[in-house]
Amino acid sequence: MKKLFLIFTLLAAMLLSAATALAAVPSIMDDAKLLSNADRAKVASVLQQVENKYNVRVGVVTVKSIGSQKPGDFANQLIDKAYNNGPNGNIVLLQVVDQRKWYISTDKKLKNVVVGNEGVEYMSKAFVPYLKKNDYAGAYTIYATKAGELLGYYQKNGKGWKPEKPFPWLALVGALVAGVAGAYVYRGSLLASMSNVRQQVEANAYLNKESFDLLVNEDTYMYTNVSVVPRSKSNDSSDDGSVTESSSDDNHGGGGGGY
Amino acid sequence: MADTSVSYKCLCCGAPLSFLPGAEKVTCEYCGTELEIKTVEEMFAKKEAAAAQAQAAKEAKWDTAAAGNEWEKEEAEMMKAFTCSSCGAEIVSDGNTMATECCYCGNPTMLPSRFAGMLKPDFIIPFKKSKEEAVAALKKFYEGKKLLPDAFTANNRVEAIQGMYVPFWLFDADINAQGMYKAKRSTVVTTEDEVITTTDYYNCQRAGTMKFERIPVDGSEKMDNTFMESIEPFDYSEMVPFSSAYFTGYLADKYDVDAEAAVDRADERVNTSAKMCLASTVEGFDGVEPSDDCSVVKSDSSVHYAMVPVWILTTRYNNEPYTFMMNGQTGKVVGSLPIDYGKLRNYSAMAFAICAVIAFAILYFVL
Repeated sequence: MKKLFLIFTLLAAMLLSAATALAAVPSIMDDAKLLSNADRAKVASVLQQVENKYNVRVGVVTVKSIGSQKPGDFANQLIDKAYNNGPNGNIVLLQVVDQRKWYISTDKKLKNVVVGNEGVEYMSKAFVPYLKKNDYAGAYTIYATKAGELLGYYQKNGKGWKPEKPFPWLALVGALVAGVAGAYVYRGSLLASMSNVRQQVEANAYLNKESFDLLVNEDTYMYTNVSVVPRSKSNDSSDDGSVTESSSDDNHGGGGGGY
Repeated sequence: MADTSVSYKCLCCGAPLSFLPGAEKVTCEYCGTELEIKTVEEMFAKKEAAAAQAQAAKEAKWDTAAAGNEWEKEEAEMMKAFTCSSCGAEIVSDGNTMATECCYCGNPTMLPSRFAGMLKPDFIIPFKKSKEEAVAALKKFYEGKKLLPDAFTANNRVEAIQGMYVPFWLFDADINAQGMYKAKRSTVVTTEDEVITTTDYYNCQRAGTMKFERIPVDGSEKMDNTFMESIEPFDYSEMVPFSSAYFTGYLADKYDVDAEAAVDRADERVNTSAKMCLASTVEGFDGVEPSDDCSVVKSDSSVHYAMVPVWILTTRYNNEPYTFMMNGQTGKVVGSLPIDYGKLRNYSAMAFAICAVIAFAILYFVL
């Protein structure tokens, strides 16, 4: 809690001392001290290029811990209180070191640019492998590049990027099989309804139920068979850049995961 | 010439008598006179005896003449002529006909000579359903049949309808059955790394006694066995001791499949049911394998001879005859209807389209 207070104090101080709108809060705030000065400068340069080109704020914030707070909620607060002055919108990447989590939050405007989980994963699938290798400068650079690509796509097409769904061949084949099976069963029931002439195979209707007397009823144990089947390990997709959590609401977009 | 057949005529007005479905007495449809079945039997007993004697005499004479005639002896045996006691016309019937009606005057006619040398039926189930009810039941049978050709229902007329008492053998049996079954019970434990399935196998021995009562087996060669089994079951609580008076107004055949020949069919059904009955007692397991090691032994058995009521309805479509049968007691109709294969194709295509569209919609979102 103390740390959180310090972070927001820092952010507030930066905001108060800002001279210009876009320069009010630096594009990269490396509170977790993950980058060298040189790398920080390099990343800041890439982020600012994107900011200037599209007139948005593109931020990166690293923290060692956020206590029990959810990364999504924390990132949304960064959007509301620090990165909130981009004329065309704001986006921020939060990295929480002790939880090994990342979260990308956008404001309402950029919800149309970074559309849904697919939009977030377009960036995260590219930079999370670098986070896992502790190549933070590389990860942030790719984040900036991918953010630029999404902004460029939106500028060009007037709508956010969405992955093109491949033609669902599997669904088509499944549907054809289901269709044939359904038609076969229905056809059989129709044909069966046209005749009720059937030979009787048993005489249950003529068994005097009360006459049945079970004289021997013995169950003898013979042997036991044990089969052991290894469980297939499910692939943990939470650290491959997939979005596993989201705190998006009416005013915020985005999503996050682990690395 | 002495009458070789007997017509059951009303003592009051002389009109033909008929046993009406559901009635307990023989009723004259013309003057309404009701006669007790016992009374009718007694009154016509002597007449039947005389008619049988006359027929025997006629047959003996006819048989001699037949030696040099164009009919083969077997053909002659199958086709016998009788004199109608009402109009005097000659009635020709096959060798098993016990009761029929004159094709000239429509008079219900008994052929008592056919009762000789055969077992007298023990029981009879009287007709409860009338001819009109049979026709109505057949029309209802058509309802809701999607593949029925439109022309069949539009032009359909019942070509012939006959009420007939069909000979049946009713088998009673006390059964001793025993069998062995292999059963298994499984427990599944799932750990973090593996699924362990432990299956215990048991040998289950079962033996028991049971009683089957009145399993019906068709005793008529010309009646299709599958049809006869399809119109089951009969309500034996309405079965009464046999009286030929119930035959009036209906056709009736004597058996030509004897009880010995019908035993196999009864045995098949008893064995299957006995095995099912024992298998149903193997409980509390996750799986039971059917056993071949099952024996069914009859400890006591008896057979009864009964006549059961059947309406036979015949119709025609595309020059093909279609026969339907109705249980004359319960009203259950059985038969095979013609199929419009064009409709079958269309319905199948429709089912294919609906199933495929629904499956595609589900799979599109799931996959």
